[in-house]
Amino acid sequence: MPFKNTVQNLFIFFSQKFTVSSNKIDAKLTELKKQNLKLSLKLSEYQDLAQENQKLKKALNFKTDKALELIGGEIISFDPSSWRRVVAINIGEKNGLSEGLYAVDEGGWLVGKITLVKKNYSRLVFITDPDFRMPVFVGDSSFGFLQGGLGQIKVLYIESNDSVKKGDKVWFRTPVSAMPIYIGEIRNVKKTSDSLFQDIDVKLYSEDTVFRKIFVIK
Amino acid sequence: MPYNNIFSSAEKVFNMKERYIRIILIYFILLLVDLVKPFGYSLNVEFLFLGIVSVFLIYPYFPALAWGGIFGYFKDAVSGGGVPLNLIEFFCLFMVIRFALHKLNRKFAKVLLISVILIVHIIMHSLYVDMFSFGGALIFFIQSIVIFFPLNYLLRKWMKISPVGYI
Repeated sequence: MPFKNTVQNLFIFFSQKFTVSSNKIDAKLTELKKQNLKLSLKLSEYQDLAQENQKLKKALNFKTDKALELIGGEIISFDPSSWRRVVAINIGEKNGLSEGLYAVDEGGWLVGKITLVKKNYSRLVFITDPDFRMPVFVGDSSFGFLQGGLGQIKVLYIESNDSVKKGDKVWFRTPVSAMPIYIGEIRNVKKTSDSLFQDIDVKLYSEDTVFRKIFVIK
Repeated sequence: MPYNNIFSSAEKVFNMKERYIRIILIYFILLLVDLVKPFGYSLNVEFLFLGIVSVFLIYPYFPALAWGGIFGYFKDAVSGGGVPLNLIEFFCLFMVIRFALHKLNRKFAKVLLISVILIVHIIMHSLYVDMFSFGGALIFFIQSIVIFFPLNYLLRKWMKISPVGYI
C-alpha cells in the first residue's frame, strides 16, 4: 500500500500524544485524591480539637462565669410626677425577682434597678431618676459612683490624677457574671485645680424615651 | 308659684351634681394619662396638675378644691414619696387662684398667673428632689403652656361654663 508507513507513523504519533495526556490526567487525579484524603484527615483532627476545646471552655466557664438569666417584663405604669423616673413592671416575687437586681433594655444597655418587689409587680428606678446611685467602672482602670439625674448623669469620685477621657465606656458587672454590662460613655470631662475629683458627664446608651419592654438580670 | 321654685332648685342641684361628676371624671382621666404616659418621657407634662389648675380657674369653688385635694393625695400615694407635696400644693394653689381671680381682670394677667404657677411648681418639685435641671424645667414649662390652653378650652366647654370672667 502506498503511504502505509506514513499513515502508521501518523497514527502512532497521535496515539502517543493521547496516551501521554491520559497519564497526566491520571496523575492529576491521583494527586487530587491524595490531597482530598489529607484534608479529610485534617477535618477529623479539627473536629476532635473543637470538641476538646468545648469541653475545656465548659469546665472553665463553670468556674468563672454562669449564664445570665434574664426575666422579661413590661412597664405597666409610670410615676405621675415629671421629676421622677420610676415605673412599675409586671413581674415580681412570683417571677423570682428581688430588690437590688438590675434591668436592661432590648439592646442590653442598663436602664435601672429594682427597688421594691411585691408578689405580682415591682418598682424599677431608672438611671435618669434623681435618686439613682450605683458603683461603676470607667474605662479600663477607674472606678466611681454613678449619680442619676434628669438632665445630666454624672460619675462621681474619680480622682483628678485618674486617666479618663471622652469616649471611655462606663460599665459594671453583676454579682453572677463576669460579663460587663454597659451603661454609656463619657461625654465630657472637666478637671479643676481646686478639686480632688473630676467632673464627668455620661451619655447613656439607652436613651429611648418610649420603650416598654425591659429585662431583669437575675 | 312655689312649684316653679322647687323645680328650679332641683334643676340647680342636678346641674351642680352633674358638674361635680364631670370634675371627678376629668381628674380621674388626667391621672390615668399621667400614669400611662402614652408618649413615654418625650412628653414631659403633668396632665393632672394642669387639669386641676384649669378647673380651679374655671370653677374656683369648694367641690373643685375637695376633689383636687383627693386626687392630689392619690398622686402622692402612687409616687411613694414621704411628704404629701401635691396635696399641700393644690390647696395653696386654690387659695392663690381665688385671690388672684378677684384682683386680675385682663386676660394677659391671667396668662401671667399660669406662668407663675408653673414656675413655682417647677421650683417646689426641684427642691423636693434636690436636683434642678434647666433643660428639663424649660421643656416642662413650654410643653405645659402649649397644652394648658387647649385643655382649658376643652374643659370649659365640657363643664359648660361661660368664659366671661375666666381664661
